[in-house]
Amino acid sequence: MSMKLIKYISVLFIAALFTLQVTGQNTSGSEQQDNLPAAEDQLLPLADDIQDTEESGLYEMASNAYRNQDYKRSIELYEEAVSQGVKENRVSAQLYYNLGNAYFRDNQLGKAILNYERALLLDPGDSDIRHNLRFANNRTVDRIAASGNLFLVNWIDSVRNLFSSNVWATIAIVLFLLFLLSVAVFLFVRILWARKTAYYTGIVLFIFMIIANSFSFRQKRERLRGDTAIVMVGAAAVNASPDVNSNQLFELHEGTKVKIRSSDGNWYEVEIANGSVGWTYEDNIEII
Amino acid sequence: MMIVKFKRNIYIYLIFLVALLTGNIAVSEAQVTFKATAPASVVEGEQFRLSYVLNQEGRDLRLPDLSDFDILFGPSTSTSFSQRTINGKTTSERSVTYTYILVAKTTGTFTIGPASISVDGANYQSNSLKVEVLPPDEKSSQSSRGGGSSSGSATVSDNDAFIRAIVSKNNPYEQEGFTVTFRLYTTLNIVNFGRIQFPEFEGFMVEEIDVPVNQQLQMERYNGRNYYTADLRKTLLFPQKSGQITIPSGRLEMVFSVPSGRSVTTFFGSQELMVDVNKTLVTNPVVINVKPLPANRPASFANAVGTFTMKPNINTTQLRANEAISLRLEISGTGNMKLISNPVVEFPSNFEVYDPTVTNALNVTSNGLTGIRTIEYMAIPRYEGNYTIPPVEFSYFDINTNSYKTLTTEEYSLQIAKGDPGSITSSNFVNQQDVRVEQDIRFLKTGEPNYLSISNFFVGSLNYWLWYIIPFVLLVVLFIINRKQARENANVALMRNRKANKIAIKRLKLAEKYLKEQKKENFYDEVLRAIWGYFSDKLSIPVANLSKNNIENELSKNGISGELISRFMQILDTCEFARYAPAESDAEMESVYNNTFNAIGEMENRLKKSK
Repeated sequence: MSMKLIKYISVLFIAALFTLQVTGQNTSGSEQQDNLPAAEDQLLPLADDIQDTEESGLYEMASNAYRNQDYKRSIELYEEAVSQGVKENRVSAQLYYNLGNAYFRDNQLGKAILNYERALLLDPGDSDIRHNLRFANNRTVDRIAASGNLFLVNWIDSVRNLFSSNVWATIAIVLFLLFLLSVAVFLFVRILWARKTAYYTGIVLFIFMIIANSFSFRQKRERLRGDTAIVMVGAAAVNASPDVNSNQLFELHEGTKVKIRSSDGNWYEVEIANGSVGWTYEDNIEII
Repeated sequence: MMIVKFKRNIYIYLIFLVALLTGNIAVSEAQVTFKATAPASVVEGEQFRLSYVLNQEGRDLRLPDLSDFDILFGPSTSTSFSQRTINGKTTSERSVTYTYILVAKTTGTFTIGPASISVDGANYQSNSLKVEVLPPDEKSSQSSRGGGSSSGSATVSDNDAFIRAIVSKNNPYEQEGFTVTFRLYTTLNIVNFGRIQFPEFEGFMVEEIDVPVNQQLQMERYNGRNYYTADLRKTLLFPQKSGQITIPSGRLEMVFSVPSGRSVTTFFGSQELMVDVNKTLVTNPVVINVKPLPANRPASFANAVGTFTMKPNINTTQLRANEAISLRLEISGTGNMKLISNPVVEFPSNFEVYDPTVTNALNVTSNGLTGIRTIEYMAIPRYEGNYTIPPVEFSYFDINTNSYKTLTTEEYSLQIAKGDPGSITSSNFVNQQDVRVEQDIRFLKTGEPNYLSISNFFVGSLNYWLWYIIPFVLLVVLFIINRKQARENANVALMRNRKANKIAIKRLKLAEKYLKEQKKENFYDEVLRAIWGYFSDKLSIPVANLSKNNIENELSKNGISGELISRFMQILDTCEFARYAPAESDAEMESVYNNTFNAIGEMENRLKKSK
C-alpha cells in the first residue's frame, strides 16, 4: 500500500516538473519576443541570427586585440559589445570582466574597477573577478580603514555573495521541492522513523528555503539599487556642501568605491567606507 | 804598511765602481731612443726650437726636409749625464740634445718628417712632428703695451688673460658623455696660481680626465690673437636629466708678471721693469641642452648610452643540485659604463639567487668611459631537474645611429642532477616554502559570454511563483485523494464485516445442498470456504494470509472465549480430515453442518457484543 503511494507521488512530481518546464520555456520565449524590436513580423529568425553572429564577432575581435596587446582597440570593441547588449536589455559578467581587464592593462584604474564591480554584481561567486578586483583595489591611492562591521554581518554577506539572485532563487526552489517531499513522506509513509526524520528535515529545509529566498531578493535589490559608485578622476574633491566654493573636507582618488546617499542637482552626497560623508560633483564618479 | 794596504783597498773599490758603472751603461745601451720635440703651434715669423734627444752618442744626424722653415741656428749640441741610486740600485742616463732654431715662413700646418742618426753603425729614425703655424698677432705689441702705459699702474685686461670652458658637445643626449675643458689663455707670463674654484657640475655624473701636471704651454689663435694656452682641468660629464642645464662659472686667482711701463738702465741696456699683478679670472657659464632619450625605449633598457658589445659566459650547464652556477656578462664599449644597470637574468624561481657582483676595468677618454664592465650572477639550484635560463637582454641607446639596440644572449638549458645528500641537509630547514602570491590580474574569460537580462529577474517572476504554487497544489490534491481513498477502504472493510454472516450462511446453504446430493468432497470444501471466508471478512485479513494460528490470536485479542475458538478449530480439523477420509456417514456430515451453523451464529453474537 505505502510503496504504491510513493511511486504515485514521484510520478506526479515528475509530471509537475514537466509542466513547469514547458510553461517556463513558453514564458521565457515570450519575453524574448517582447525584447525584440517592433519590426519582427518579417524575417524574424534571420535578423536574430545576424545580430547574434555580429555580437560574438565583436567579442572575439576584442579578445584578439587584447591578446595582441592592443588594449585601446580592445576597449573600444568590448564597449561596443556592452552597449549593444544594453540596447537589447541584457548584460554579461564575462563581458564586463574582460572590459575591466582591458582597462587595467591600459592603466585606466577607475574604469577597470568600475567594470570589475559590475561583473561582480552579475556573478558574485566568480573567483577570477574577485581576484582581479582585489588586485586592482590594491593599486588605488586611497587606503580607507573600513568602519568595523560585526563579524556575523560580514559572514552572512560573504555567504550571500557566493551566488547571484537567480542562483539563490533556484536553490530556494530546490529546497522547497525537497521540503514538499519530506512533507509527503511525513503524511503518507507509515514507518515511524521515516516520519520522524521527514519531520525534522522538513523544518530545516523550510528554514533554509526562507534564507535562500531572502538572499535572492536581497541580491536582486543590490543590483537594482545603483547606489554605489567609483571615483573616475585622478583626484576628486569632496566638499562640505553641494557648492564649488564650500570647504573641501577630503579628497578621493581614482578607483575608490563610494556609497551615494542623496543627490542635489549635479552633486552627489557620498559616503566612504570609514563613514565620512561629503558632496562631490557628478562628473567625478560613475555609478556601478 | 798601513798606507800600502789602504791604497790597495782604494784600488779595489775603484775597480769595483768602474765595473759597476760600465755594467749599468751596457744595460742601458740596449735601448736607443731618438725623439724629436717641437711646439705644436707657433706663430709665423717667430723663432721656435726643434730638438732631437738621443740617449746615446750618435753621429751623422740627417735632418728631414725643412723647406717650409728657415733654419736660423743649429745644431747646438748639449750633453747631459745623470745617475741615481734607488734602494741600492744605480741607474744612469745620458742624453745628447741637438737643437735647431727655426722660423716658419708661411701659415698653415706642416709636417716635419723623421730625422735619422747612426749609433754604432745602426741607423735610428726619430718620430715625425706636426706643427701648426699661426698667423702673426697684428696688434699684440700695441695692446699689451698700451694697456700698461696708459694707466701708469699695470693691469691685466680681459683680453690678455682669460679662461674658457670648452664643451665638446652642446646638445648631448641624456647619459651621453661629453667633455668640459677649462683652458687658460694668456699672453703674459704667469707667476703664480692663487685660489682655484671650479664650478660644481650639478645634474651630471663627473669623471676627471687626468691633465699632466707640467704641461708645455701651447700656442693657440683665438679671436685673432695668439695666446699661450694650458688645460687646467678636463672632465667627462654624463647628464643625468634632460632639459637645460647650466654649468656655472668658476673663479681662478692668478698672478701675472706685467710690464710696468718704466724702464731702468742696466749694464745690458734699457730694460723694462716687470710688476706682479693679481687678477681673478672667471669662466664663462655654459648652457647645455640635454636631449631626452627617445620614448620608445625597450623594456630591457639598462640606462646605457654609447656603443657596447656583450659577451656572456656561463661556467657550466650540467651540475648537481647545491652547486653554484655563475653567469658572467662582459659588457665592453664606450659610454656611461659606470651607470649601466645590471641586465635582469631570470633564474628559475626555485634557485637561490645572489646579488650580482660588478667589476669595472675602465679608462676615461674624451668620448666617455671605455673598457669592460663584468657582471657576475651567482645562483645555486636547490632541486634537480631540467631548467632553462631565458635569453638575457641588454638594451642600450646607440649614439652613432640614434636608436635603441638590444643585445641578447643565448638561452641556456641546465641539467641539474641530484645533489649530494650531505649538502641537502644544510637547506632542509627551508623546505616549507610560501607559495608566492599572484602578482598580476588573471586572464580574460574565453568562450561565449552568458547574458542576463538587465531588468527581469527570476525571483519574483510568475515563473518563480509557479514553481512554488504548482508542487504545493499537487501535494494538497494528492493528500485529499489519499484521504478519500483511505475512507473508502475503511467503508469496504465495514461492509464486508457486515455481510460476512450472510455470505457464510449462503455458503452453508450450498453445503447443505451438497449434503443432500451426497457430494461429500464438495460439502467439506464449502464448509471450509465458509469458515475461512467468514474470518477473513470479520478480521479484515486476506484469505491467503490466514492460518489457524493467527485466527486464534486475532480472536483472543477480540475477547472471544477459548471454548468457542476450540470449537471452530475442531470443526476445521474435522473438515480437513474428513475431506480426504475414505467414508463418512451422513450423520457425521449433518452434525458438522449444524455445529458450524451454531458456531458462526454464536461468534456473530460475541463479536457484536465485544464491539
